[in-house]
Amino acid sequence: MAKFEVTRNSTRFALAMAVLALAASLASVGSANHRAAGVSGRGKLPLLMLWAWERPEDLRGVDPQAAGVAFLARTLYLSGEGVGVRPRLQPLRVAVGAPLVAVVRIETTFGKAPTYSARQRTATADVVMEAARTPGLRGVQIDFDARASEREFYRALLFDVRNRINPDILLSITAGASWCIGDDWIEGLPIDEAVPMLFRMGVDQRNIGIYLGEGRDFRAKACHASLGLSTDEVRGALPKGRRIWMFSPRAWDAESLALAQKEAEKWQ
Amino acid sequence: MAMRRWKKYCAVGLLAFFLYLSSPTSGCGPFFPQAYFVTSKLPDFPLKPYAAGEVGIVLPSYSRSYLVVAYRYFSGKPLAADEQTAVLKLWNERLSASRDFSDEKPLSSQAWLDERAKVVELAAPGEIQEFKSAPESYFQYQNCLGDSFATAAATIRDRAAKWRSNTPVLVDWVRGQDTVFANCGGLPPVNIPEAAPASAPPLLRADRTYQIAAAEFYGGRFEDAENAFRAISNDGESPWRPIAALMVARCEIRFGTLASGNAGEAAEHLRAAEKQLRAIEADDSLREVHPGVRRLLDFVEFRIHPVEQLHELAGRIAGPGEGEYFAQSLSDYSALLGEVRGQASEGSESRLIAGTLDRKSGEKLPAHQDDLTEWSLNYDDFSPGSFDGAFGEWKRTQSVPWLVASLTKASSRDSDSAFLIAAARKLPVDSPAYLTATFARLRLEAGVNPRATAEELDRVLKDGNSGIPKSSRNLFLGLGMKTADSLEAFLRYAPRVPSAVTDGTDGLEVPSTADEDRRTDAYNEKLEKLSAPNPYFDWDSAQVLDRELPLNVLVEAVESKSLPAALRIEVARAGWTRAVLLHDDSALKFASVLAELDGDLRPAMEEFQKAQGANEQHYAAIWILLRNPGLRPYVVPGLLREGVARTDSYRDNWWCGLSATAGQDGGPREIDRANPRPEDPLFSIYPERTVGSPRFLGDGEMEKATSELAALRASDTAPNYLAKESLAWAKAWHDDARVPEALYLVVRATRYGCNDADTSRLSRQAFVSLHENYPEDPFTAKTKYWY
Repeated sequence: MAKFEVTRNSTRFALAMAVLALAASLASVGSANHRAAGVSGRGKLPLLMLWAWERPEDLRGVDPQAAGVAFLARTLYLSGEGVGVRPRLQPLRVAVGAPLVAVVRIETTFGKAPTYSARQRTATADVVMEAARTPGLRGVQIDFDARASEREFYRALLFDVRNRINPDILLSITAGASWCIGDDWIEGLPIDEAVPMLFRMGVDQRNIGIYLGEGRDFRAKACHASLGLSTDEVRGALPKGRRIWMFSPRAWDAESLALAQKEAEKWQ
Repeated sequence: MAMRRWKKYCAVGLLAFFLYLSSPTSGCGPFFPQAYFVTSKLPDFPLKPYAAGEVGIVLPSYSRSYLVVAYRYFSGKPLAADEQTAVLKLWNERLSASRDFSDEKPLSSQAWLDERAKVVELAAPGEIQEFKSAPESYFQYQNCLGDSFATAAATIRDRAAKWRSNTPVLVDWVRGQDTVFANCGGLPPVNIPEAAPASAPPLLRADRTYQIAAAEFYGGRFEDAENAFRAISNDGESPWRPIAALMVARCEIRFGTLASGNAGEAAEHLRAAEKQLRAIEADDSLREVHPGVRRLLDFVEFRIHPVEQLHELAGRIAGPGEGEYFAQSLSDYSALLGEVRGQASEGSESRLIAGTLDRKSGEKLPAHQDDLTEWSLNYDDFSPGSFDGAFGEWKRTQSVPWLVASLTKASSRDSDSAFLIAAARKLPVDSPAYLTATFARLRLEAGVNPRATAEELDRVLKDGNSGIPKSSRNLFLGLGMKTADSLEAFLRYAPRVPSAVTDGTDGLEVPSTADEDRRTDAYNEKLEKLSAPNPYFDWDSAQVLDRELPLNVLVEAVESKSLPAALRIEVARAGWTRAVLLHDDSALKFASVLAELDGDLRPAMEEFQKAQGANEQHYAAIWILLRNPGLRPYVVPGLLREGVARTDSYRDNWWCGLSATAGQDGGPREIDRANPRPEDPLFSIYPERTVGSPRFLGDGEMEKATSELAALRASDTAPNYLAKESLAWAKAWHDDARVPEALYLVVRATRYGCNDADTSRLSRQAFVSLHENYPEDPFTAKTKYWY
């Protein structure tokens, strides 16, 4: 991270510090809002969310007060001008009253290069809205590993979705950890939160581990409400007081559920 | 003036604050090309030769369907042409599931809509949704299958021929069918066609009765649908009698898989389906639907009689004759094998509704009932007793599959190995099992007679030449490297051409070929370039180079011309960097090789060679390191880092701490990047999972390697090292024209290199030194921050 110039003029330094303090106080208010939006505002999700991916899952035994379920509802394949849609094809059973989030994953690396046209964006938003109409939903989460060249499309898509979605529905996105640390492109997105994905980070794992290990927090305010973890990866230091979204590489069972609960408690 | 100055300071402050927040843009999910030298889960691409019997070395870690195909060839029962076609289609579907949902794939309803448009002028009903939401379980299922549209298309052709196009009766028929298909997707209410009036032609009335039953079925009212279909199947006059009988079973199947509250209820419905299907099978008057019966029975038996179905399928696919059903039978069989192991693949877990195949729970499969299953379960089993099981079967049967299974598990300590080796020697060169058996045999013999093993191995590679799949070739090379009794031999076996270069997006070991439509995408162009058959180091050769060879042997390696030029350069760069860190004279020898071969570093190395005295030489080295972030004191397995002078935006620059303790994030230690994947195929050669010191080192060389490695591990992370050395340089040689830029590069290195708790302090020191001692230098102006 960059530091200020070290100067010998105390007046200049004091003025710069004053500006910094003002901006920091504004930032912390924004951060609190983001936290509030995630925890006590729109959507009202519990502090543990279990990702239920494309496999049969029976989560009827999970206490709805203790954990919610974020299920892969649709996978979209953007290719050329088209939007291919793969619905969820595996059963999911949840307890009555379980807090639910529909996850829509977007893929752009199969087939032809997408055009990212307005028409394609509208078609993509249509599918997201269709998933958002699932009864009992508290939120929608978009899972898109957008490259730099895709950000404009993604930003516009999120604005489209926000304009159309029920205001009571939480709008969440997954975010590469580097988006939350070294990047400010997600600032200003019309989302309630971004979930930093702290697993399967590949080459980023070392750098993110060092960054968080030094007790630092994510720079992007949108990333202050939640953390994305996996049951099969152990984490070092993490910021506390966040909602935990937990992934399991295999179908949830008693052991993995207990582990998820323990991790969620650990990071409160 | 004061106001202007105040505004300027505010602007500076605000700008500085926002710059504080920003840092180099790095997109989420970076995907990096990855090289696989030995694919572990599937054979090399393309798969056509494998399906045709050129199976290479068949690894136990292959997915089950590949092992079944290998078994067929090992048993002398090759796949027929239609079986090869079917299995290639299956594999292609499994490896490219996303294509099924491409927007460009024509909908299966299109054939029906096209026929409809030819015979009636009714407005088209719009896109027919093929997927429907299942009740209360948040998923969708393919409600209207291709067969239903094909049947509708065939029927309308027939009815149009009988009733003529656009006649009221045909239009009425089509309206009814449109109503049926309106239930394919979407939510309630269910759309039911009106009953045909008594005055309608008998055929229309019969068709309408069927359409109503179908509408109930697609609408999810399975009980009503079943009753309606049953009535039709009992009507001897209805042309729909046979298919209606089948639909009764399908209603029970839908009940059992979509609408049952618990497993017991589901199993009951599926048993009812089974009973109906068996009845149809036994009824010759329903012969036209017998092919459909077989597929549905397989579907049902999979779920309620998995043990019996496993053996039934094994019997069908272990030899020729399955024809067009081969792919589905193989797919079902491999899924059931996965259930036995508790290794059901994603998306297929818990499909069993009754019965269990969990061997761990104590249920044993009947022994010797099914050779294919016993072999398949044994082949990838390395638990105690598995060798005895395989050897016992081989003694009993003398079959090639069991010979191969035994050899794969044998160790040189097994007293029975000699029998296996003798039998393996008798296999003809053109046997599909030859390469697998030979590799296993040579692995056993390598410890006893490494030289003879190497000679035979070289012969196998030479005779097989381009016919040996790359993964198999690399396994032989790995084995050869283990036997190497000279540096020259090691250098001959060390380079490997990858069997697959992937873009790393999906974790599959499938080569990512550049998509023609994305030729303008810079990443795909790079991928295509990387897919050229260039050799690199795998983890075993990198481990030896990095941890087991002293500098003097590394010098010999780069001065020898045995390695390809690109790999000579890699080793020379690593050796030079290591020699600099260890203050070893061999740095000049590596520099000489680099000056000759390395176009990127030639000018720098020539300058280095000209430096006079230890200090000048050392600072010349620091200068080179600062300007070349791709330099590090070790080689890395896999693809080469691009551009030694390029700063990588994901901070893969220079080296991190090389100490023997784990990194802060628990990740692999830097110098230990030459580490295998979990369950790497080379473990069959290195069961201890590490290569160890090579046999050809001379006296004292192993100790020298150990002490050099220990000294290296004590080195700092690169930015810290470069900072300390540069600060010393600046202090000692203040007037050296390179120093300002060096300090600038140090500060940059602390941003883009691997940090630890000390780095920030050193970054500040370099920053202060630059600003205080060289205030007017252009590089000082460029260095606005420290990190």
